[in-house]
This record gives sequence, C-alpha cells and structure tokens, in this order.
Amino acid sequence: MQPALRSITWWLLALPLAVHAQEMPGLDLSAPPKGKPNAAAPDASKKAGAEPGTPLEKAVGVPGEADAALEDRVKAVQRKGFIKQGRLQLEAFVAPGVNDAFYEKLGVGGMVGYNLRDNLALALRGTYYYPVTTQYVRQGEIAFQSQLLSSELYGTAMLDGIWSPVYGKFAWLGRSIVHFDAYLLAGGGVAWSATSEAPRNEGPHVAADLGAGIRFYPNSFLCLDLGAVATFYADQASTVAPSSIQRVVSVTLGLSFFLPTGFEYYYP
Amino acid sequence: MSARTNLRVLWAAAALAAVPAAARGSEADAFENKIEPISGQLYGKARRFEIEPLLALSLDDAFYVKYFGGVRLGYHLSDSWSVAVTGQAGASQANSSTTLCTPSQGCTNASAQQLWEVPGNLKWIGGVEVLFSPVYGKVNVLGSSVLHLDFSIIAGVDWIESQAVLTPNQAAADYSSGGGPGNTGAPGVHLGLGTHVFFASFAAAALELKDYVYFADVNTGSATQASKLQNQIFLELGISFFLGGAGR
Repeated sequence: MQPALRSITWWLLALPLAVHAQEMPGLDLSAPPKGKPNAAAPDASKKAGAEPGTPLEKAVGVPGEADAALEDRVKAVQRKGFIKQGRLQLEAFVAPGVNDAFYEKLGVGGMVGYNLRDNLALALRGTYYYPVTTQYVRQGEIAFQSQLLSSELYGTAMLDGIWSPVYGKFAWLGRSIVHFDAYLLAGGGVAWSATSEAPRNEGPHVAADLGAGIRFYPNSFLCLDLGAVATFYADQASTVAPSSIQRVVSVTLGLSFFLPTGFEYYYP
Repeated sequence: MSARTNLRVLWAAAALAAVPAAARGSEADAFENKIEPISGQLYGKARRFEIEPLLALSLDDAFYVKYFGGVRLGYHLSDSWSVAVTGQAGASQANSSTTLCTPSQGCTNASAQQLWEVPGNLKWIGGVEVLFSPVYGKVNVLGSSVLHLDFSIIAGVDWIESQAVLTPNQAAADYSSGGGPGNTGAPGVHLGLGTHVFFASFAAAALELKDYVYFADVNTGSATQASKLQNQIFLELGISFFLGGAGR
C-alpha cells in the first residue's frame, strides 16, 4: 500500500473512535463539592437503564436505549406555540366596569394592533361606555340626603404599548394543550365625558391607561383575550367641586384575529 | 498491493467507519414514533386534603369596604374536582363615598345614624363550594423560570350575616335611645374564579375572585323596605397546604 493511501485508511478507521471520544463527557477537573458523597453515580447508572426491563426499555423495545435518553446533558428547548411578530391583530371586546358601585359602565370597543416583535405590540383602542345607574344611588340619596357627583364617561381612544414577557401552555382536563401569554399594557390618549359636550364644551380630556391580561391561542389565527384595564383622566364633575383624577377600571373580554392567518416558526 | 486491492481496502475502511453511525441511526429510529411527548401534571391534587388560611378584601363597594380573614378546608375528589367548606369574618369600614360635602361646611364623614340606613356592612360568611379545575398550566417567566398553576371555576351556597338596614325613622329612634341595628342573615350563592400557583407538592399560593349574591332589605324612600338583590365581590388571597395522597 502506498504511504498516502495507508494513512487515509488508518484515519478512516480511527474516525469512529474520535467521534465516540467527542460524545463522552470531558473530564471534570474541578474539585467535588465538600461533604457531598459520591455514591449517587452508581445508583443513577443503575436506574438509567442497566436494570433490564425498565419502563423506558419496554417502551422502546431495545435494551440499553434508556442510556441515550437519560444521559442527555442538553435539555430540550420547546418552541413557542404561537408567533405574533409581524402580524396584524384585530380585536372586538366588551369591558364592564368594576370599580363604581353607583354608576356602572358597560364598555364595548375594538382594537387594531401590530406586533413589532413577538413580545411587543402597538395598538389603537377605542371604547364606548353605556352607563348603568344602580340601586345604591337612590339608597345613598335617602340615607345621606345628598346628591352624588360623578364624572360620566362616554368613551376613550388610546394608543397603547403591549408587552408580553410571559408565555406558557395549559392542559385542558389533561388532554388538549392551549398556548397562552400574559401581557402588560400602558398608553395614552383622550377621553370624552359629559363635560366634553354642551353646555360646558370642554372637549376631550387627556387620558392614560394601564392594564394587564392573558391571551389564549386555540389555533394559528384566533385568540381569546381576558384582561383588566384602568383608565385615568382629569374631569370636574361639577363646577362647584374641584377637578379630580377619575379612575375607571374595566374587565375586558375580547376576541382577536391575527393577519396573516398563519405563521412560520423562526429560530432566534 | 495492486490498485484494485487498495480500492477494496478503502471501501472496507469506509464501511467500518460508517458502522457506528448506523448504530446511532438505529438508536434514533428506536425512539422515533415510539415515545410520545407527554406534558405531565407535576403537582397532583387527587385524593388530597387542602387547608387554606386566607385574607379577603371586598371590591366595588358602595358604602362599606370589608377586610376579612378566614379558612377553607377542601378535599380533592380528583385533579379536576374538589369540594370545600369556607368561613370568613372581619371588619367593615365606611368608604370614601360616604363623605358628605357642602359648599358652606366642607366635607365630613357620614354619621353612624346615616350609615345604619345603607346595606353592605357584612359580618361573616360561611358556605360550601364546589371547584372545577379543568386547566393545569406551565408558565415561562422571562425565559428563565417555570411556574406551575391551575385555574378553577367555583360555585357555592352560603349564609351571609350582615348589619340590618334601618329605615330613617328606626335609625333616628335607635340613635336617640343609644341603641343600634342588630345583625340579620340571608342565604346566598357565590360564583368565582380561582388559581393555585404551586411552590411545592404540598404548598401553593391561592388567589380567588368571588361574587357573592344575596337578598337584603333596603330603603326605597317609602315607609317600608323592599328586598333587593345585592352583589358583593371579594378578592381572596391565601396559602394552601395539601395533605395526604401522593402529590404527583
């Protein structure tokens, strides 16, 4: 055999040994933790598959295959189940108020959002509020012989940033899996109240909102949105009373559609 | 050695080199389509008792805000269904809507006599409830830690004890005589949503939002009172301890 050809042959024969050497964990030169017995290793290897007939071996049907699975040092990273980046989001929602026992508000509205990143979106939200006067207004008038002053909110238009740092998945009755994320919402805009119109004609009031919620993704283009939003605006309910910051807290229940309806998974 | 022999040696070497790769391929094939990925419920509740000391804060109050403490004792029939008895009591305080303002005298708190004429001064609540927990979830927080949690739908029946609402005449008479309103009870129901965030197999944080519904006699402006439906929302926060069972 020519020297060059002989060398190639030996290299090829040695290659599997080199690959096998790379698969073996390297020698750990650090000192073992003090006071920690090193007796766990034999037990672990025994549990890992040396015992014949372990459940994993039975499932695989190949003795010793458990070693390959259980000795894997690189943990699996699961992919997100829903990708929002670059997608348009259209939402319709209802928003009943939960912090005014006298004049409850039932809000209905819509949102158009664009997801700049998978965890960051900009959204334009508009809400119209139907006022509902409760029994407590009358009971307060009877007991206190007084009139209740309240700002009457008609609607809001807000530009919000939506940040969703948390994602996860739910098992429904231990069977089907539903992906979800949780988000924080903050932004600013304008609010219209009774004082925005005649006779006071003060126009829209500067407003801000702050909220949080959770979104469930049953498929690639649909999402159920459950959240709570607090809207703040300055208003003077009566000219004899001082102006104050009004706070309206609503629970939002919405249905969103994402466009385009599908997505491709990307690797960071 | 001839060139033909050299070529055979090369092929043999290549075949030998490929043997371990083939073995690894068979390993992969052995796993392929045989082990389905299973998302396990790490913290099980089936056939376990649950003890939860809790604090409760009322929300959306018209006249009184409530600060209650209590305890709930439950038994989980399965991971999805459980039954519990609850009891809570505490203090009520008149909220800011009872502050009365006049242009000449400024703002003052409503008198005790006036507060006797409005509903919502709850004393204690006791009840039994059923919880259905169809959802078990894992949450990735900022890509670093994983939380295990479940969500429940809650329904129950209660006995709700509250301060009786007096008519203006009764309130004036009791106030002048140094008396005051007694308590009155009424049956009620509650609906709610709850979640457990698990720390370990034996402990979890519990957060629940419940709407208690009951009837109370209230003033309507006439000489007699009328029974009206009342809603009382409570936010309850507790620590749950699970006892018995395997826990997973």
